[in-house]
Amino acid sequence: MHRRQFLGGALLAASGLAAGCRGRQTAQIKSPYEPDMVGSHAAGAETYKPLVDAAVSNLLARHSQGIHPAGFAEGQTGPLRICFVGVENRSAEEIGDFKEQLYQQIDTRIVQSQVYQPISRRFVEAGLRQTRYRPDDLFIPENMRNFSAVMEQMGQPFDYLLFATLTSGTTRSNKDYQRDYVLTLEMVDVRSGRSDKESAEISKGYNVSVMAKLKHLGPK
Amino acid sequence: MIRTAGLVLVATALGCATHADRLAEVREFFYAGHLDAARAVVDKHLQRRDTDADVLKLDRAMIDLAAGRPQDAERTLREVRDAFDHLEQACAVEGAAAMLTDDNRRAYAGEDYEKILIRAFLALSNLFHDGGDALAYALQVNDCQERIIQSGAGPEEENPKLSYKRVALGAYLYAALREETHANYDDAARGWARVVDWEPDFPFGRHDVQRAVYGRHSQPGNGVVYVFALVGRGPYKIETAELPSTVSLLIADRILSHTARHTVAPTVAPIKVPKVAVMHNEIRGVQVFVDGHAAGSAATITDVGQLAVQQYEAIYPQVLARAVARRAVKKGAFYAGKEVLGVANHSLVNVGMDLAGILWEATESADTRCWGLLPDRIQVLRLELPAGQHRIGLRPTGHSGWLGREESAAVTVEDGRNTYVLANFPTDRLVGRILVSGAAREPQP
Repeated sequence: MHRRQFLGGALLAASGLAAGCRGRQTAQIKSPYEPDMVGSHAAGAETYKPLVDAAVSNLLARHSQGIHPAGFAEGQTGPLRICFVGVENRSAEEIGDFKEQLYQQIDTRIVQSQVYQPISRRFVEAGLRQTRYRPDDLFIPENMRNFSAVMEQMGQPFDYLLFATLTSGTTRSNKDYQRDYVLTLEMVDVRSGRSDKESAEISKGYNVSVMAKLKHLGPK
Repeated sequence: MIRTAGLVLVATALGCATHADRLAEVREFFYAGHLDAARAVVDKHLQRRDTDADVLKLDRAMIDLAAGRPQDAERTLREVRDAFDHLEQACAVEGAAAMLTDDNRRAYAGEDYEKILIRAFLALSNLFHDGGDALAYALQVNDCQERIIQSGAGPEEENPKLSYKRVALGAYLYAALREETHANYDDAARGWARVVDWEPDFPFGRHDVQRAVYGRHSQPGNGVVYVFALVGRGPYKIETAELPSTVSLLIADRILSHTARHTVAPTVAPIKVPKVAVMHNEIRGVQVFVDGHAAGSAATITDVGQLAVQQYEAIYPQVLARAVARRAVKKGAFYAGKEVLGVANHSLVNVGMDLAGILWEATESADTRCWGLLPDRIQVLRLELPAGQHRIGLRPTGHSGWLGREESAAVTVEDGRNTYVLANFPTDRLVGRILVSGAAREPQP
């Protein structure tokens, strides 16, 4: 018998159960070496993680090579005090819960670099709340001076304001499209008002047509 | 024929009470403001029944929220959200059982508007005891409705859910929370732009967008109060007889009985389907007073009644198709039985089998399970007020002015921060108490 029959029966029962029962959702911890899932309709971890890595690394690399941001005071010792105001999303996509993560990732990388010394976000938000300035108001020199004075009163003086901006550009080819994501880190010297920029870019193709899907079949 | 009709009546009378019957008592107590009695009825049914436990829990969450227990409400809502997510998967065994009985045999996974509103009420509940997860819940509202709409059909099918009206409350809450950070005006602007897009009749939407793009959260020394009002008695499901389909099926089975080898049990019992019912509400809105002075009227950010009707209409053909298919399966089963047994058309056995078929069909009940204590509308008013103590008064309004008396609560406004107020006015009187965020830290008068 009957082994073949038994196996066939077991297989049939198993497939019946699989079709007839609700399965519990499962999850697993991804190893750091496993690639991130790729968002099919919008950017996700696969885009934002390397963007942050590249943009912050570029900024840090310049400083570690002795290239200082504009307005750097010669003779200054110790890490530069940075007031990281926030991440502004000017891309075509909602980034939802990624926004907070982008902020924290950039902030953590800056802390770890020991090239900069960021101010706690709690103080930054308290300063904005007290002055009622919008982040973009801080580009006006008088506002920047007032904000800087408020932060000093809180015992949190800083040398540079840091703004992160996420932008995107979309190129369409019939149903398919390519979207270029750029993360720009902009540092503004509070004394001179001069700014310095670093950015990173990732391009991603979204396949809607059958031809495009076939062309990009297989692991990436 | 008279005997047949009598049997059908008996069978229908013997059929189980529907959820709509059980809900009636809960709604009655709730709208009369007897929250303890409403909760006792819900608990009683929860002990006895399993098939509509989740919707009963949703009603219990609404009772807890109105009674000033937002933490309990949030816990229950979270439990039901997870249960509905699990039950979304199709179950072939239940599907087969439902074909032989009725849709009440299926585990209830919630209507689409209910799944979205669970997230919205999770956000609201969280704001009144902790606030730490409100932003996540607000994001889930949008994610959930996108997921529902995207899953409405396969690639080659027409998607009936594309016509769904979107729930703007999640986007509104998200924008309000992001604006409060004073650092994320871009998120606030996007959120309010969505509100304008999805709820174009919301009168404050454009002003909110303008403020997020060019203005600020509040002037120095001021804070913001969001007054949310749950207004009117909301939608629920009732059992209705789908007569055109019943008549069509009766004609079809008569034709078949005359032309086929065996007769088919006549469609005497009407095909029963659930319909979303919307109540007439005298109350139209809530006028808000600050320290005794009129400050404005709350405006509708989500019309729950309209949303439920519109979404249900979009999927109604599927509900009806399932009911008709069930009848066909039942008739087919008896027909096959007659074929196998070789039953003659004019024999007593044939008459008995036809009567049994009619009885089987007559025992069907429409699946009226639903979240029965939803409001008809969710309204909101944003007020910028000087920091400090204020008294917020709420008075229900109808078509021709005030309806009931004013109810009030003390609110502490913090400089540069949001404070939230929630009140439940299903009729012209407040049910439960007015909830104020942060009130747990400060004693309520």
